[in-house]
Amino acid sequence: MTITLNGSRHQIAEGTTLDQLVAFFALPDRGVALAMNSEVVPRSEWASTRVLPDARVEVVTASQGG
Amino acid sequence: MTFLDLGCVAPVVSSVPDPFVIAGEQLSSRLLLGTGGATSLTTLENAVRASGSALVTVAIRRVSLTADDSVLAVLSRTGVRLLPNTAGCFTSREAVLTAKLAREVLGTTWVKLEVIADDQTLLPDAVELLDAAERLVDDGFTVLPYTNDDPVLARRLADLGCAAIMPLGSPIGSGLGIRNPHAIEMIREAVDVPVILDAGIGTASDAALAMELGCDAVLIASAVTRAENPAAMATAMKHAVLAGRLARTSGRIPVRRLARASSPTEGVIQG
Repeated sequence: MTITLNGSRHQIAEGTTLDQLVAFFALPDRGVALAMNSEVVPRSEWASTRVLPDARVEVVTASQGG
Repeated sequence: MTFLDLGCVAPVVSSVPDPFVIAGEQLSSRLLLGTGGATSLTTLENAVRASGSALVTVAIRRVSLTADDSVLAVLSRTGVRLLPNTAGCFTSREAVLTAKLAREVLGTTWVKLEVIADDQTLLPDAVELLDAAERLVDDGFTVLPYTNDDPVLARRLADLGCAAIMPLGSPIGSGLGIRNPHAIEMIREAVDVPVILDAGIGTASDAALAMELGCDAVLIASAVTRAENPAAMATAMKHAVLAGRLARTSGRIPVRRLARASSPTEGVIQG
């Protein structure tokens, strides 16, 4: 299925969970936060939450900013 | 009294309690530092240390696989508290989501709320800002909104439960200073929460003026991070904020139209 991760489209296997997605793309799992379809998913729920078809997933961290 | 006695002002100053408190939390400095614009993390770290700031802002951005995202590591070394912002958000919806993500990333409910209208002016969008502030306050956030130099809007934000008001002196990154000092004074009078002058400061006298106008603190980013020597400018800003605050609380002389001699008028010799 197709998803959009941080603005880029990717093909992933159906049934992939959020923690598997983060691991697959070698994203850091500390100091980050994740939203799927504009809803924050707490770190504690990544393992039990499946990525939805056509999901828009954002993984963010702190960066320099005023 | 000798000259040296007169020079020993530090103990006198420190004996006068003048705590700076936001939402019940006391901060050791009235200078907040923004971290955007620094050319390297080393430069940033040196500027943060030189500023003496206890609260510095960070933005929330997509994780990059290539960039070095160690700003968190650098800032945690300095021991400062982090204040995430919602910079880059144009709608209440974006800002609220960004604030919630920031809460996850940093484990803080404090947020500097920015909802801007366009890329050219970066001016706050008052309608979206009020909406976002209300939603975030309702969700338990400690909201510090970046706002226009509008006393009425400031009062509306304070009435919503915002923990501080952050009016602009002039557009972000412009270095134009405080274009409407009267409005800043009116904001100070309009709300009971801390007023933090945010945006537009170009040099130390701007920061001192903000404090003399009655602001409780200032937030400075570009004026420090984009200065030729950021650490030295951070030091200048630190002193400017201290000086401006002291001047504000020391009872300045009234402005007069004509001169008033400071030397005795009696005993003047006749030539």
